[in-house]
Amino acid sequence: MKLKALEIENLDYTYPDGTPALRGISLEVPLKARMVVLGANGSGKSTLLLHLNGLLVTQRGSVRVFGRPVGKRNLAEVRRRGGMVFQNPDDQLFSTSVTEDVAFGPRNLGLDPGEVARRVARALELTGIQELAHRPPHHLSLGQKKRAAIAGVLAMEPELLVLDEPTASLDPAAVRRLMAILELLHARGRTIIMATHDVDLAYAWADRVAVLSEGRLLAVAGATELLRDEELMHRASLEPPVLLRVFRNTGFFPRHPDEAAEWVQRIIAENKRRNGTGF
Amino acid sequence: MGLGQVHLQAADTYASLDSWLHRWEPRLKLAAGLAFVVGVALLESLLPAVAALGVAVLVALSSRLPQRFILERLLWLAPFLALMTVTLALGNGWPPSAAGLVFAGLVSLKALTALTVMITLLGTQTLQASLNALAHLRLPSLPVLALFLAYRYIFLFRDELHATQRSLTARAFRPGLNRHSLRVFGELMGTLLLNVLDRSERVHRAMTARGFNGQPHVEEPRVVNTPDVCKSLASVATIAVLILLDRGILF
Repeated sequence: MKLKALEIENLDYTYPDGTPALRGISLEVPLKARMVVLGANGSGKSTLLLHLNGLLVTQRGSVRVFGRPVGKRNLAEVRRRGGMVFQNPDDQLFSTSVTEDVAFGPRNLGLDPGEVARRVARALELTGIQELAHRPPHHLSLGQKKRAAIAGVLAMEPELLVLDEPTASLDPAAVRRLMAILELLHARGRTIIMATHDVDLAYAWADRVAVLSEGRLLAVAGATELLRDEELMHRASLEPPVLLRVFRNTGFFPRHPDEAAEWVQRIIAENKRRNGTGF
Repeated sequence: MGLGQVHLQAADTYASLDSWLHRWEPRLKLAAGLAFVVGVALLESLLPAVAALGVAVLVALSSRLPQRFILERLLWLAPFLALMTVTLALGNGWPPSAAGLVFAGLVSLKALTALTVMITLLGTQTLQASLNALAHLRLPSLPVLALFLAYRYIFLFRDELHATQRSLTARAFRPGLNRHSLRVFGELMGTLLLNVLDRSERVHRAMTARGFNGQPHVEEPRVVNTPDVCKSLASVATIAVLILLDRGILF
């Protein structure tokens, strides 16, 4: 059987106050996938992600990361191989400088100071924040904090990267920089799982999408196939991506605005050649 | 800058400057500083206390820390100092007695000296170095970690407080000493407390996710050299002389 980055079987979770958060989730994520867990607020995305790192104890069902069950015995290995970036970087950055914070994970792995320094330098370079190395995290902008938080996880050199709402509250430039980092990491062979309610981001970036609603997994499929299903999207309190709504019934499914613009310009040019008006 | 918001520089903003204090090994510096402060607390007469404050001011001036940086921090602590002084001076009711005034003056002088020394010493090394020094001075890891996290989250707490303050002002709230205001303040404090509890849970999760097992990382201490020992001895000798003067053993 082919090794999977993540295998979840029949996962249930109920919060101590009795609120059911996850109900019978089963999901597989292949190696090197770009997977989005899509859902409206309160759909159970964050609760699901917290299970991948063993931060929530499985009540029923099982979670396996790279074939290893997430449980007390494997927690150290699971956390080393699967890094998690939290939604609010202020929950993650607590050290006196960015460098210290990025070094936190590698030091917890018991690495020697030379290796810690090498990993910190690599992570800062990868996220493009070398110039922030000695700044206190509380003086950074949100976009910078987000990159510092990612650097802190990358320094542990995880094979699986899990991000909870990574683009929340970021401006377009910060989103662009963040997505470029994720692209680079994916090109270097990392498996990336991202939880978001941003359907446009999911459509532009993901290979596969899993849609959650009220703690249930409604569907898992390729991004285009799944996100153009309006009925499914509405059941999950979501809307199809703008590009798919604009190009509904055309048989054309552009993943990026540039691709859509090129198609439209080509049609206009063709019409112009035919009837002189372009429309 | 938001309503009532004061820009608070990090305690170690000027840790990268160079002075005899910056070059002092953090463990010895902290231990000598604490010994000096304890010695100051033991002083019982005004003149040695004034001399101790003089020493503290000289140390502060020679630290190359901007005077404004030190004064700003003292200013933050001034209300507590003033409250303490007034309470002590009026300990026996109005009008304050001469003895009461002298006692209040002495305690305030000693507090001011201790604050000046500690602000200067902590300002001349990185916070990480101070925390490492505390850990190497055998302070248990839990209070070291608590200090460390408290420092970081003070800034977030301040931001949350200001954001809430702004949202109250935006909805035409005028603070005053009336039932409505007190109720709002009570609810505000309750909400902040709940937010802090929620955040502590999230921070713990984020730390655990990066393999944290409850033991803060402590770097190897720097090697102690002769100037470090000389500075520490000079500091202890200074406070010892002041205590002997105070007790009338010298002169």
